[in-house]
Amino acid sequence: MPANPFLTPHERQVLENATVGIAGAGGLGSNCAAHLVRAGIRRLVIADFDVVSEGNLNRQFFFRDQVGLKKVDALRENLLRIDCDLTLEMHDIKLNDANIGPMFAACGIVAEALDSAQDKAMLVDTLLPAGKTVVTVSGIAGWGRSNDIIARQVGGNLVMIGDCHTAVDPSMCVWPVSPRVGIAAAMQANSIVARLLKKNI
Amino acid sequence: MQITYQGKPTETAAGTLAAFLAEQNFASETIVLELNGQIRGKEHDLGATALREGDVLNVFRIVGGG
Repeated sequence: MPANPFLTPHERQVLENATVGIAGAGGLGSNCAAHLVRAGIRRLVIADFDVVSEGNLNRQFFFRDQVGLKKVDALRENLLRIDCDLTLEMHDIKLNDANIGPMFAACGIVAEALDSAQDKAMLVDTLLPAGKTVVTVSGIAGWGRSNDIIARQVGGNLVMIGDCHTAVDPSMCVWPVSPRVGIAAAMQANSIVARLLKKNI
Repeated sequence: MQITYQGKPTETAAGTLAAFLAEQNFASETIVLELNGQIRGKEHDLGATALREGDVLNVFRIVGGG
């Protein structure tokens, strides 16, 4: 039984034939991946260099007994618990402007799920000119203001999700926490599925 | 010259995209630029990109968190 039984044959074919990239397996990436698998995506390329820590459990799709595991290994395990028939290409690597193009060569669409503004900009600046569709996130820290998190179509091939304002700022006690990060991760997955099915984001 | 900036009619004397961004204090920000529906990425020289009457410009800040 597929994870999502509520697809038309055409929708199933489109989603199962798509290869989606996810850059980062933290708060955005791990939750976006789970949404995509539940929606019916079968092929994912996911890259992250980090290890699951206690501080990740406030928002990331990992469990306490996975603390210390590589995120790509823990996420593979969790996604396969949702659907055991997945093609997962997991890369334990720090992305940069030299390796990010080859990493996502097979993906028509890539979710940006990185931490720093500089890395986010690097991904957009590298993958958009290469012809990829990119779904990026900017401005998801803190609490409340759910309705400020919106999905914008920018140019032809970029979707920006977030309020474009609220950065993580430890000096002001503004942290990434599950509700707002989760909203953005779900919107990323929703935008990706919508683009693949040629519906409005 | 009048352009549409962030959805609003805006008067500017800036002749280039780089000059306009400096005028709006975006100099040190990570941003995405959309000029007349097209993204102007880092492969474009913003100092050589002329702003023209009627241009539609949107600037989106990229901030950290994931």
